[in-house]
Amino acid sequence: MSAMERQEFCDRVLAKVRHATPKEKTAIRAELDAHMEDHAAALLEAGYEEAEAAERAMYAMGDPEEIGAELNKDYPLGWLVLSRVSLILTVLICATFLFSWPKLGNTLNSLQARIAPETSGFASTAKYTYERDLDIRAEIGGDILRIYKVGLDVNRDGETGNAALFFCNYSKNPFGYTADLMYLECGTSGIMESARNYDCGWCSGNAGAYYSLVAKIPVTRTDNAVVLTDDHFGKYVRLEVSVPWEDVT
Amino acid sequence: MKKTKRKKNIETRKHKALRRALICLGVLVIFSVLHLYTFTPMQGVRQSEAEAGTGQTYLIRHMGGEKWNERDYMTANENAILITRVTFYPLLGWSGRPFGILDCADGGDFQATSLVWRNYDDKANRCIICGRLRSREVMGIRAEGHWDEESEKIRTLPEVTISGGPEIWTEKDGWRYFFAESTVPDTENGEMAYPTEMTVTTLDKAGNPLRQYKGSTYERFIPVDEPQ
Amino acid sequence: MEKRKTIEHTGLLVLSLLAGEDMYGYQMIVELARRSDRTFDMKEGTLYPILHGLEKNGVVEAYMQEAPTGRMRKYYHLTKKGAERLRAEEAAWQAYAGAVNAVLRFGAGLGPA
Repeated sequence: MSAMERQEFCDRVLAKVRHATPKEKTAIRAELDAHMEDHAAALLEAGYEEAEAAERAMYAMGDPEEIGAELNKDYPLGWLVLSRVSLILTVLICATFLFSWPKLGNTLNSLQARIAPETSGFASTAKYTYERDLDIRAEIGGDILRIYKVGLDVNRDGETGNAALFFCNYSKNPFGYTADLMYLECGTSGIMESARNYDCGWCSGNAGAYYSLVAKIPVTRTDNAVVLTDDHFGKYVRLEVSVPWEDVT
Repeated sequence: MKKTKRKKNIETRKHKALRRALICLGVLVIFSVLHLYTFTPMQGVRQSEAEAGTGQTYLIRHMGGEKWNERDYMTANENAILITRVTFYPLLGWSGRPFGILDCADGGDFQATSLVWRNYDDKANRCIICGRLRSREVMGIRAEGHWDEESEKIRTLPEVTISGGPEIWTEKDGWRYFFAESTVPDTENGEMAYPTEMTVTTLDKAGNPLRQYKGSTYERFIPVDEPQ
Repeated sequence: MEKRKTIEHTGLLVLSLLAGEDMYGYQMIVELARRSDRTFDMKEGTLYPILHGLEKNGVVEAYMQEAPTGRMRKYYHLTKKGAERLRAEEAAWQAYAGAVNAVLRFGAGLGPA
Protein backbone atom coordinates (compact mmCIF):
# COMPACT_ATOMS: atom_id res chain seq x y z
CA MET A 1 0.00 0.00 0.00
CA SER A 2 2.79 2.42 0.87
CA ALA A 3 4.43 1.73 -2.49
CA MET A 4 1.21 2.72 -4.31
CA GLU A 5 0.99 6.03 -2.46
CA ARG A 6 4.64 6.75 -3.21
CA GLN A 7 3.92 6.09 -6.88
CA GLU A 8 0.97 8.48 -6.82
CA PHE A 9 3.17 11.11 -5.20
CA CYS A 10 5.78 10.74 -7.93
CA ASP A 11 3.09 10.81 -10.63
CA ARG A 12 1.87 14.14 -9.33
CA VAL A 13 5.39 15.54 -9.28
CA LEU A 14 6.20 14.34 -12.79
CA ALA A 15 2.92 15.67 -14.17
CA LYS A 16 4.39 19.15 -13.76
CA VAL A 17 7.68 18.37 -15.49
CA ARG A 18 6.77 18.99 -19.12
CA HIS A 19 9.93 18.40 -21.15
CA ALA A 20 11.62 15.45 -19.51
CA THR A 21 12.38 12.34 -21.53
CA PRO A 22 11.01 8.98 -20.30
CA LYS A 23 14.51 8.05 -19.16
CA GLU A 24 14.84 11.26 -17.15
CA LYS A 25 11.39 10.76 -15.62
CA THR A 26 12.31 7.26 -14.50
CA ALA A 27 15.45 8.60 -12.88
CA ILE A 28 13.55 11.34 -11.00
CA ARG A 29 10.96 8.85 -9.85
CA ALA A 30 13.64 6.46 -8.60
CA GLU A 31 15.41 9.22 -6.70
CA LEU A 32 12.27 10.52 -4.97
CA ASP A 33 11.10 7.00 -4.25
CA ALA A 34 14.43 6.01 -2.73
CA HIS A 35 14.37 9.10 -0.54
CA MET A 36 10.94 8.30 0.84
CA GLU A 37 11.93 4.68 1.36
CA ASP A 38 15.07 5.67 3.28
CA HIS A 39 13.14 8.10 5.44
CA ALA A 40 10.40 5.55 6.16
CA ALA A 41 13.04 2.95 7.09
CA ALA A 42 14.63 5.42 9.51
CA LEU A 43 11.24 6.11 11.11
CA LEU A 44 10.56 2.38 11.39
CA GLU A 45 13.82 2.00 13.30
CA ALA A 46 12.75 4.87 15.53
CA GLY A 47 9.71 2.82 16.50
CA TYR A 48 6.91 4.02 14.27
CA GLU A 49 4.37 1.65 12.69
CA GLU A 50 4.86 0.85 9.01
CA ALA A 51 1.79 2.74 7.80
CA GLU A 52 2.54 5.82 9.87
CA ALA A 53 6.21 5.82 8.94
CA ALA A 54 5.27 5.81 5.26
CA GLU A 55 2.75 8.63 5.75
CA ARG A 56 5.20 10.77 7.72
CA ALA A 57 7.92 10.22 5.15
CA MET A 58 5.63 11.34 2.35
CA TYR A 59 4.36 14.34 4.27
CA ALA A 60 7.92 15.41 4.99
CA MET A 61 8.57 15.64 1.24
CA GLY A 62 6.21 18.54 0.82
CA ASP A 63 3.69 19.49 -1.84
CA PRO A 64 4.21 17.36 -4.97
CA GLU A 65 2.86 19.98 -7.35
CA GLU A 66 5.23 22.58 -5.94
CA ILE A 67 8.20 20.22 -6.22
CA GLY A 68 7.19 19.39 -9.78
CA ALA A 69 6.87 23.04 -10.76
CA GLU A 70 10.35 23.81 -9.42
CA LEU A 71 11.82 20.72 -11.07
CA ASN A 72 10.31 21.76 -14.37
CA LYS A 73 12.66 24.75 -14.44
CA ASP A 74 15.62 22.37 -14.46
CA TYR A 75 14.41 20.64 -17.62
CA PRO A 76 14.03 23.33 -20.27
CA LEU A 77 13.39 22.53 -23.93
CA GLY A 78 16.50 24.06 -25.53
CA TRP A 79 19.18 21.40 -25.22
CA LEU A 80 16.63 18.66 -25.77
CA VAL A 81 15.72 20.06 -29.17
CA LEU A 82 19.36 20.30 -30.23
CA SER A 83 19.98 16.78 -28.99
CA ARG A 84 17.05 15.29 -30.88
CA VAL A 85 17.58 17.27 -34.08
CA SER A 86 21.27 16.28 -34.16
CA LEU A 87 20.39 12.63 -33.64
CA ILE A 88 17.74 12.58 -36.37
CA LEU A 89 20.01 14.36 -38.82
CA THR A 90 22.90 11.99 -38.10
CA VAL A 91 20.69 8.95 -38.59
CA LEU A 92 19.24 10.29 -41.84
CA ILE A 93 22.63 11.16 -43.29
CA CYS A 94 24.09 7.79 -42.35
CA ALA A 95 21.05 6.11 -43.89
CA THR A 96 21.89 7.64 -47.25
CA PHE A 97 25.14 5.70 -47.13
CA LEU A 98 23.14 2.57 -47.91
CA PHE A 99 22.47 4.21 -51.23
CA SER A 100 25.72 6.03 -51.88
CA TRP A 101 28.32 3.46 -50.82
CA PRO A 102 28.99 2.46 -54.48
CA LYS A 103 30.60 5.89 -54.85
CA LEU A 104 33.49 4.50 -52.86
CA GLY A 105 33.98 2.17 -55.81
CA ASN A 106 34.75 5.28 -57.83
CA THR A 107 37.51 6.09 -55.36
CA LEU A 108 38.97 2.60 -55.65
CA ASN A 109 38.93 2.94 -59.41
CA SER A 110 40.68 6.29 -59.15
CA LEU A 111 43.38 4.83 -56.92
CA GLN A 112 43.84 1.85 -59.21
CA ALA A 113 44.35 4.19 -62.17
CA ARG A 114 47.19 5.80 -60.25
CA ILE A 115 48.87 2.59 -59.19
CA ALA A 116 48.25 -0.12 -61.77
CA PRO A 117 45.99 0.98 -64.62
CA GLU A 118 46.64 -2.07 -66.74
CA THR A 119 45.03 -4.29 -64.10
CA SER A 120 41.74 -2.40 -64.12
CA GLY A 121 38.60 -4.08 -65.39
CA PHE A 122 37.94 -0.99 -67.48
CA ALA A 123 41.27 -1.22 -69.32
CA SER A 124 41.15 -2.45 -72.88
CA THR A 125 42.09 -6.06 -73.45
CA ALA A 126 43.27 -5.42 -77.01
CA LYS A 127 46.54 -7.12 -77.84
CA TYR A 128 49.26 -5.91 -80.13
CA THR A 129 52.31 -7.57 -81.58
CA TYR A 130 54.63 -5.07 -79.97
CA GLU A 131 53.74 -3.43 -76.72
CA ARG A 132 55.58 -1.16 -74.34
CA ASP A 133 54.52 -0.06 -70.88
CA LEU A 134 54.72 3.65 -70.25
CA ASP A 135 54.00 6.17 -67.52
CA ILE A 136 53.47 9.53 -69.12
CA ARG A 137 51.28 11.90 -67.11
CA ALA A 138 49.93 15.35 -67.74
CA GLU A 139 47.61 17.62 -65.83
CA ILE A 140 44.41 18.63 -67.61
CA GLY A 141 42.27 20.91 -65.49
CA GLY A 142 41.55 19.09 -62.24
CA ASP A 143 42.45 15.70 -63.70
CA ILE A 144 45.56 13.74 -64.62
CA LEU A 145 45.86 12.11 -68.03
CA ARG A 146 48.09 9.05 -67.93
CA ILE A 147 49.31 7.09 -70.94
CA TYR A 148 50.25 3.67 -69.66
CA LYS A 149 50.90 1.59 -72.78
CA VAL A 150 51.59 1.89 -76.46
CA GLY A 151 51.00 -0.89 -78.99
CA LEU A 152 52.12 -1.51 -82.53
CA ASP A 153 51.03 -3.83 -85.30
CA VAL A 154 53.31 -3.88 -88.34
CA ASN A 155 52.10 -4.29 -91.90
CA ARG A 156 53.61 -6.85 -94.23
CA ASP A 157 55.90 -4.30 -95.82
CA GLY A 158 57.64 -3.92 -92.49
CA GLU A 159 57.79 -0.18 -92.83
CA THR A 160 54.28 0.92 -92.00
CA GLY A 161 51.94 -0.07 -89.26
CA ASN A 162 49.15 0.87 -86.91
CA ALA A 163 49.75 2.16 -83.43
CA ALA A 164 47.46 2.29 -80.42
CA LEU A 165 47.58 4.37 -77.27
CA PHE A 166 46.25 3.08 -73.97
CA PHE A 167 45.47 5.84 -71.49
CA CYS A 168 43.30 6.76 -68.54
CA ASN A 169 42.06 9.93 -66.95
CA TYR A 170 41.51 10.38 -63.23
CA SER A 171 40.71 13.25 -60.89
CA LYS A 172 43.45 14.72 -58.71
CA ASN A 173 41.13 14.31 -55.73
CA PRO A 174 40.48 10.55 -55.35
CA PHE A 175 37.03 11.30 -53.96
CA GLY A 176 36.18 13.77 -56.72
CA TYR A 177 34.69 13.53 -60.19
CA THR A 178 36.54 13.10 -63.45
CA ALA A 179 35.79 15.05 -66.58
CA ASP A 180 34.94 13.34 -69.84
CA LEU A 181 37.74 13.06 -72.37
CA MET A 182 35.84 15.13 -74.86
CA TYR A 183 38.47 17.43 -76.23
CA LEU A 184 41.36 15.08 -76.91
CA GLU A 185 42.95 15.10 -80.30
CA CYS A 186 45.31 12.54 -81.66
CA GLY A 187 47.50 12.29 -84.69
CA THR A 188 50.90 12.09 -86.34
CA SER A 189 52.88 14.43 -88.62
CA GLY A 190 50.94 17.39 -87.39
CA ILE A 191 47.60 16.06 -88.65
CA MET A 192 45.36 15.99 -85.63
CA GLU A 193 41.77 14.92 -85.27
CA SER A 194 39.39 14.16 -82.47
CA ALA A 195 40.45 11.05 -80.60
CA ARG A 196 36.94 9.72 -80.98
CA ASN A 197 37.29 9.56 -84.75
CA TYR A 198 39.85 6.83 -84.53
CA ASP A 199 38.79 3.25 -84.69
CA CYS A 200 38.17 1.83 -81.21
CA GLY A 201 38.12 5.38 -79.79
CA TRP A 202 36.54 3.67 -76.88
CA CYS A 203 35.99 4.91 -73.38
CA SER A 204 34.96 3.02 -70.29
CA GLY A 205 34.94 3.72 -66.57
CA ASN A 206 33.14 5.72 -63.93
CA ALA A 207 33.41 9.09 -62.18
CA GLY A 208 36.62 7.85 -60.52
CA ALA A 209 38.55 7.20 -63.71
CA TYR A 210 37.96 6.76 -67.44
CA TYR A 211 39.98 4.36 -69.57
CA SER A 212 40.45 4.86 -73.27
CA LEU A 213 42.02 3.21 -76.26
CA VAL A 214 42.80 5.06 -79.44
CA ALA A 215 43.76 2.62 -82.17
CA LYS A 216 44.58 2.30 -85.87
CA ILE A 217 46.79 5.36 -85.86
CA PRO A 218 48.82 5.01 -89.07
CA VAL A 219 52.56 5.21 -88.45
CA THR A 220 55.77 4.55 -90.35
CA ARG A 221 59.33 3.86 -89.28
CA THR A 222 60.29 7.44 -89.92
CA ASP A 223 57.08 9.07 -88.80
CA ASN A 224 56.94 7.22 -85.53
CA ALA A 225 55.69 9.65 -82.92
CA VAL A 226 52.06 9.77 -81.93
CA VAL A 227 50.90 13.06 -80.50
CA LEU A 228 48.04 13.55 -78.10
CA THR A 229 46.80 17.07 -77.47
CA ASP A 230 44.11 18.69 -75.42
CA ASP A 231 43.20 22.31 -75.83
CA HIS A 232 40.26 23.66 -73.92
CA PHE A 233 39.50 26.26 -71.30
CA GLY A 234 42.73 28.03 -72.05
CA LYS A 235 44.99 25.12 -71.19
CA TYR A 236 47.06 23.43 -73.84
CA VAL A 237 48.62 20.05 -73.22
CA ARG A 238 50.77 18.12 -75.67
CA LEU A 239 52.08 14.64 -75.15
CA GLU A 240 54.34 12.81 -77.55
CA VAL A 241 54.71 9.04 -77.53
CA SER A 242 57.36 7.13 -79.48
CA VAL A 243 56.13 4.03 -81.19
CA PRO A 244 58.46 1.07 -80.38
CA TRP A 245 59.85 0.43 -83.91
CA GLU A 246 63.18 -0.59 -82.37
CA ASP A 247 61.53 -3.74 -81.04
CA VAL A 248 60.52 -4.74 -84.57
CA THR A 249 62.89 -7.29 -86.07
CA MET B 1 37.87 12.28 0.36
CA LYS B 2 36.68 9.61 -1.99
CA LYS B 3 36.37 6.31 -0.23
CA THR B 4 35.09 4.25 -3.11
CA LYS B 5 36.23 4.16 -6.74
CA ARG B 6 34.17 6.71 -8.67
CA LYS B 7 31.87 5.29 -11.30
CA LYS B 8 30.96 6.92 -14.59
CA ASN B 9 29.19 10.27 -14.29
CA ILE B 10 25.61 10.80 -15.41
CA GLU B 11 25.69 12.92 -18.55
CA THR B 12 23.78 16.19 -18.38
CA ARG B 13 21.40 17.26 -21.14
CA LYS B 14 23.78 19.97 -22.28
CA HIS B 15 26.64 17.51 -22.54
CA LYS B 16 24.53 15.00 -24.45
CA ALA B 17 23.24 17.67 -26.84
CA LEU B 18 26.73 19.00 -27.56
CA ARG B 19 28.10 15.50 -28.03
CA ARG B 20 25.36 14.63 -30.53
CA ALA B 21 25.76 17.94 -32.34
CA LEU B 22 29.50 17.35 -32.67
CA ILE B 23 28.95 13.86 -34.07
CA CYS B 24 26.41 15.26 -36.53
CA LEU B 25 28.93 17.86 -37.65
CA GLY B 26 31.60 15.18 -38.03
CA VAL B 27 29.31 13.07 -40.18
CA LEU B 28 28.46 16.12 -42.32
CA VAL B 29 32.13 16.83 -42.90
CA ILE B 30 33.02 13.21 -43.71
CA PHE B 31 30.15 12.82 -46.13
CA SER B 32 31.05 16.10 -47.81
CA VAL B 33 34.73 15.29 -48.22
CA LEU B 34 34.04 11.79 -49.52
CA HIS B 35 31.43 13.22 -51.90
CA LEU B 36 28.86 10.78 -50.59
CA TYR B 37 26.17 13.45 -50.28
CA THR B 38 25.87 16.98 -51.60
CA PHE B 39 24.37 19.06 -48.81
CA THR B 40 24.25 22.42 -50.53
CA PRO B 41 23.52 23.50 -54.10
CA MET B 42 27.02 24.98 -54.36
CA GLN B 43 28.46 21.53 -53.68
CA GLY B 44 26.38 20.37 -56.62
CA VAL B 45 27.96 23.14 -58.68
CA ARG B 46 31.43 21.87 -57.72
CA GLN B 47 30.35 18.42 -58.89
CA SER B 48 29.28 19.88 -62.21
CA GLU B 49 32.56 21.83 -62.51
CA ALA B 50 34.55 18.62 -62.13
CA GLU B 51 32.50 16.83 -64.78
CA ALA B 52 32.79 19.70 -67.23
CA GLY B 53 36.48 20.18 -66.51
CA THR B 54 36.25 23.96 -66.19
CA GLY B 55 38.34 24.24 -63.05
CA GLN B 56 37.16 26.42 -60.19
CA THR B 57 34.42 28.82 -61.19
CA TYR B 58 32.81 31.68 -59.30
CA LEU B 59 29.14 32.34 -58.77
CA ILE B 60 27.57 34.91 -61.06
CA ARG B 61 23.93 34.35 -60.35
CA HIS B 62 21.45 31.66 -59.46
CA MET B 63 17.92 31.23 -60.62
CA GLY B 64 15.15 29.16 -59.08
CA GLY B 65 13.61 26.64 -61.43
CA GLU B 66 9.94 25.87 -61.93
CA LYS B 67 9.96 23.44 -59.03
CA TRP B 68 11.33 24.05 -55.53
CA ASN B 69 13.94 21.34 -55.87
CA GLU B 70 15.47 22.60 -59.12
CA ARG B 71 17.82 25.55 -59.42
CA ASP B 72 20.09 26.86 -62.15
CA TYR B 73 23.48 28.28 -61.35
CA MET B 74 25.61 30.43 -63.62
CA THR B 75 29.27 30.35 -62.68
CA ALA B 76 32.35 31.45 -64.57
CA ASN B 77 36.09 31.89 -64.48
CA GLU B 78 38.58 33.44 -66.86
CA ASN B 79 38.27 30.67 -69.42
CA ALA B 80 34.80 29.25 -69.09
CA ILE B 81 31.16 29.89 -68.38
CA LEU B 82 29.17 27.08 -66.84
CA ILE B 83 25.44 26.69 -66.37
CA THR B 84 24.57 23.98 -63.88
CA ARG B 85 21.18 22.47 -63.25
CA VAL B 86 21.04 21.43 -59.59
CA THR B 87 18.26 19.06 -58.52
CA PHE B 88 17.54 17.88 -55.00
CA TYR B 89 17.14 14.15 -54.54
CA PRO B 90 16.63 13.04 -50.93
CA LEU B 91 19.11 10.17 -51.28
CA LEU B 92 21.81 12.10 -53.12
CA GLY B 93 21.43 15.72 -52.07
CA TRP B 94 21.73 18.67 -54.44
CA SER B 95 22.99 16.84 -57.50
CA GLY B 96 24.51 19.10 -60.13
CA ARG B 97 24.82 18.45 -63.88
CA PRO B 98 26.45 20.68 -66.45
CA PHE B 99 23.67 22.11 -68.57
CA GLY B 100 25.69 24.52 -70.67
CA ILE B 101 29.45 24.79 -71.02
CA LEU B 102 31.11 27.63 -72.91
CA ASP B 103 34.83 27.65 -73.63
CA CYS B 104 35.85 31.32 -73.55
CA ALA B 105 39.56 30.82 -74.01
CA ASP B 106 39.47 32.21 -77.56
CA GLY B 107 38.78 35.63 -76.17
CA GLY B 108 36.66 38.26 -77.83
CA ASP B 109 34.37 40.87 -76.40
CA PHE B 110 31.20 38.89 -76.84
CA GLN B 111 31.24 35.36 -75.44
CA ALA B 112 27.85 33.69 -75.47
CA THR B 113 25.98 30.55 -76.27
CA SER B 114 22.40 29.36 -76.62
CA LEU B 115 20.83 26.43 -74.80
CA VAL B 116 17.58 24.61 -75.32
CA TRP B 117 15.90 22.61 -72.57
CA ARG B 118 12.86 20.46 -73.12
CA ASN B 119 10.02 20.88 -70.63
CA TYR B 120 7.88 17.78 -71.06
CA ASP B 121 5.22 18.75 -68.55
CA ASP B 122 4.28 21.96 -70.32
CA LYS B 123 5.01 20.65 -73.81
CA ALA B 124 7.38 23.49 -74.51
CA ASN B 125 11.04 24.25 -74.98
CA ARG B 126 12.98 26.63 -72.81
CA CYS B 127 15.41 28.67 -74.89
CA ILE B 128 18.24 30.42 -73.11
CA ILE B 129 20.80 32.95 -74.29
CA CYS B 130 23.63 33.46 -71.84
CA GLY B 131 27.16 34.75 -71.75
CA ARG B 132 29.17 37.86 -71.10
CA LEU B 133 30.30 41.00 -72.88
CA ARG B 134 32.40 44.06 -72.23
CA SER B 135 30.55 46.81 -74.04
CA ARG B 136 28.79 49.29 -71.79
CA GLU B 137 26.66 50.46 -74.68
CA VAL B 138 24.63 47.28 -74.89
CA MET B 139 21.38 47.45 -72.95
CA GLY B 140 19.34 44.65 -74.48
CA ILE B 141 19.66 41.41 -76.36
CA ARG B 142 17.24 40.27 -79.00
CA ALA B 143 17.44 36.68 -80.14
CA GLU B 144 15.72 34.84 -82.95
CA GLY B 145 15.66 31.11 -83.36
CA HIS B 146 15.59 29.17 -86.61
CA TRP B 147 15.11 25.53 -87.15
CA ASP B 148 15.26 23.06 -90.00
CA GLU B 149 12.18 21.45 -91.27
CA GLU B 150 12.84 17.74 -91.59
CA SER B 151 9.60 16.67 -93.20
CA GLU B 152 8.89 16.98 -96.91
CA LYS B 153 6.34 19.70 -96.42
CA ILE B 154 7.69 23.17 -95.96
CA ARG B 155 6.08 24.85 -92.99
CA THR B 156 6.54 28.29 -91.60
CA LEU B 157 7.25 28.02 -87.94
CA PRO B 158 7.08 30.99 -85.61
CA GLU B 159 10.35 32.64 -84.66
CA VAL B 160 11.27 33.03 -81.05
CA THR B 161 12.63 36.24 -79.59
CA ILE B 162 14.23 36.75 -76.25
CA SER B 163 14.53 40.31 -75.13
CA GLY B 164 15.87 41.51 -71.85
CA GLY B 165 15.92 44.75 -69.94
CA PRO B 166 18.25 45.71 -67.09
CA GLU B 167 17.23 42.70 -64.97
CA ILE B 168 19.21 40.23 -67.08
CA TRP B 169 22.64 41.77 -66.30
CA THR B 170 25.15 40.90 -63.55
CA GLU B 171 28.50 42.66 -63.30
CA LYS B 172 31.70 40.92 -62.23
CA ASP B 173 35.41 41.51 -62.89
CA GLY B 174 34.86 43.92 -65.74
CA TRP B 175 32.45 41.63 -67.56
CA ARG B 176 28.72 42.08 -67.88
CA TYR B 177 27.02 38.71 -67.62
CA PHE B 178 23.55 38.08 -68.97
CA PHE B 179 21.07 35.26 -68.79
CA ALA B 180 17.84 35.62 -70.73
CA GLU B 181 15.25 32.97 -71.42
CA SER B 182 12.00 32.42 -73.21
CA THR B 183 9.58 29.53 -73.43
CA VAL B 184 8.56 28.28 -76.86
CA PRO B 185 5.39 26.16 -76.86
CA ASP B 186 4.97 23.30 -79.28
CA THR B 187 3.15 24.01 -82.52
CA GLU B 188 -0.57 23.34 -82.91
CA ASN B 189 0.04 19.90 -84.40
CA GLY B 190 2.17 19.00 -81.34
CA GLU B 191 5.55 19.46 -83.00
CA MET B 192 8.49 20.41 -80.85
CA ALA B 193 9.79 23.86 -81.74
CA TYR B 194 13.49 23.13 -81.17
CA PRO B 195 15.73 25.74 -82.72
CA THR B 196 19.04 24.53 -84.11
CA GLU B 197 20.43 27.96 -84.83
CA MET B 198 20.07 31.37 -83.22
CA THR B 199 20.77 34.92 -84.28
CA VAL B 200 21.45 37.47 -81.60
CA THR B 201 21.35 41.24 -81.97
CA THR B 202 22.70 43.52 -79.27
CA LEU B 203 20.71 46.72 -78.72
CA ASP B 204 21.56 50.06 -77.20
CA LYS B 205 19.47 51.98 -74.70
CA ALA B 206 17.15 53.33 -77.39
CA GLY B 207 16.62 49.87 -78.81
CA ASN B 208 18.74 50.41 -81.91
CA PRO B 209 20.67 47.38 -83.11
CA LEU B 210 24.42 47.48 -82.51
CA ARG B 211 25.87 44.19 -83.69
CA GLN B 212 24.66 40.81 -84.88
CA TYR B 213 25.94 37.33 -84.00
CA LYS B 214 25.04 33.89 -85.18
CA GLY B 215 25.57 30.41 -83.74
CA SER B 216 24.22 26.87 -83.53
CA THR B 217 22.64 25.90 -80.24
CA TYR B 218 25.18 24.86 -77.61
CA GLU B 219 27.94 26.44 -79.72
CA ARG B 220 29.69 29.77 -79.44
CA PHE B 221 28.16 32.83 -81.12
CA ILE B 222 30.25 34.34 -83.90
CA PRO B 223 29.88 37.94 -85.17
CA VAL B 224 28.02 38.03 -88.46
CA ASP B 225 30.23 40.56 -90.16
CA GLU B 226 33.43 38.58 -89.49
CA PRO B 227 34.63 35.95 -91.96
CA GLN B 228 33.91 32.38 -90.78
CA MET C 1 9.94 35.86 0.07
CA GLU C 2 11.04 33.86 3.06
CA LYS C 3 10.59 30.63 1.14
CA ARG C 4 12.81 31.84 -1.71
CA LYS C 5 15.56 32.82 0.68
CA THR C 6 15.51 29.35 2.15
CA ILE C 7 16.00 27.77 -1.25
CA GLU C 8 18.86 30.07 -2.15
CA HIS C 9 20.59 29.44 1.13
CA THR C 10 19.96 25.74 0.77
CA GLY C 11 21.97 25.73 -2.42
CA LEU C 12 24.94 27.19 -0.56
CA LEU C 13 24.45 24.68 2.25
CA VAL C 14 24.36 21.77 -0.20
CA LEU C 15 27.60 22.87 -1.79
CA SER C 16 29.17 23.15 1.60
CA LEU C 17 28.05 19.62 2.50
CA LEU C 18 29.48 18.23 -0.73
CA ALA C 19 32.79 19.95 -0.13
CA GLY C 20 33.34 17.34 2.55
CA GLU C 21 32.22 14.19 0.71
CA ASP C 22 29.94 12.94 -2.04
CA MET C 23 26.40 12.43 -0.79
CA TYR C 24 22.96 11.33 -1.92
CA GLY C 25 19.74 13.27 -1.34
CA TYR C 26 18.43 11.74 1.88
CA GLN C 27 21.90 11.72 3.36
CA MET C 28 22.12 15.48 2.79
CA ILE C 29 18.82 16.10 4.61
CA VAL C 30 19.97 14.07 7.60
CA GLU C 31 23.39 15.73 7.68
CA LEU C 32 21.93 19.19 7.33
CA ALA C 33 19.55 18.60 10.25
CA ARG C 34 22.36 17.16 12.34
CA ARG C 35 24.83 19.97 11.78
CA SER C 36 22.38 22.77 12.25
CA ASP C 37 20.76 21.10 15.27
CA ARG C 38 17.45 21.03 13.43
CA THR C 39 17.37 24.78 12.73
CA PHE C 40 17.09 24.05 9.02
CA ASP C 41 13.95 22.03 8.71
CA MET C 42 12.80 22.34 5.15
CA LYS C 43 10.40 20.32 3.07
CA GLU C 44 12.63 17.47 1.91
CA GLY C 45 11.23 17.21 -1.60
CA THR C 46 12.33 20.75 -2.41
CA LEU C 47 15.94 19.64 -2.16
CA TYR C 48 15.72 17.86 -5.49
CA PRO C 49 14.85 20.80 -7.75
CA ILE C 50 17.86 22.53 -6.19
CA LEU C 51 20.14 19.54 -6.79
CA HIS C 52 19.01 19.10 -10.39
CA GLY C 53 19.45 22.82 -10.98
CA LEU C 54 23.01 22.70 -9.61
CA GLU C 55 23.69 19.70 -11.85
CA LYS C 56 22.33 21.54 -14.88
CA ASN C 57 24.66 24.47 -14.20
CA GLY C 58 27.70 22.22 -13.90
CA VAL C 59 28.26 23.09 -10.25
CA VAL C 60 27.81 19.46 -9.21
CA GLU C 61 28.16 16.15 -11.07
CA ALA C 62 26.13 13.01 -10.43
CA TYR C 63 26.85 9.29 -10.62
CA MET C 64 25.09 6.09 -9.65
CA GLN C 65 26.35 3.77 -6.94
CA GLU C 66 24.88 0.67 -5.39
CA ALA C 67 23.54 0.98 -1.85
CA PRO C 68 23.76 -1.80 0.76
CA THR C 69 20.05 -2.46 0.21
CA GLY C 70 20.76 -3.29 -3.42
CA ARG C 71 19.15 -0.14 -4.83
CA MET C 72 21.07 2.22 -7.05
CA ARG C 73 21.59 5.62 -5.44
CA LYS C 74 22.35 8.88 -7.18
CA TYR C 75 25.37 10.51 -5.58
CA TYR C 76 26.34 14.13 -6.09
CA HIS C 77 29.90 15.38 -6.33
CA LEU C 78 31.21 18.95 -6.15
CA THR C 79 32.99 20.03 -9.33
CA LYS C 80 35.88 22.46 -9.57
CA LYS C 81 33.44 25.09 -10.74
CA GLY C 82 31.31 24.27 -7.70
CA ALA C 83 34.22 24.62 -5.30
CA GLU C 84 34.97 28.06 -6.72
CA ARG C 85 31.33 29.08 -6.42
CA LEU C 86 31.26 27.85 -2.81
CA ARG C 87 34.30 29.93 -1.94
CA ALA C 88 32.79 33.02 -3.55
CA GLU C 89 29.40 32.55 -1.91
CA GLU C 90 30.98 31.84 1.46
CA ALA C 91 32.98 35.04 1.26
CA ALA C 92 29.85 36.98 0.29
CA TRP C 93 27.88 35.41 3.13
CA GLN C 94 30.58 36.19 5.67
CA ALA C 95 30.62 39.81 4.52
CA TYR C 96 26.81 40.00 4.74
CA ALA C 97 26.66 38.32 8.16
CA GLY C 98 29.45 40.56 9.41
CA ALA C 99 27.59 43.67 8.30
CA VAL C 100 24.36 42.50 9.98
CA ASN C 101 26.22 41.73 13.19
CA ALA C 102 27.90 45.14 13.15
CA VAL C 103 24.56 46.92 12.84
CA LEU C 104 23.00 44.80 15.57
CA ARG C 105 25.92 45.40 17.96
CA PHE C 106 25.60 49.08 17.39
CA GLY C 107 21.87 48.94 18.20
CA ALA C 108 22.50 46.65 21.21
CA GLY C 109 24.00 49.61 22.99
CA LEU C 110 20.39 50.46 23.93
CA GLY C 111 19.38 48.09 26.69
CA PRO C 112 17.62 48.04 29.96
CA ALA C 113 19.26 50.24 32.53
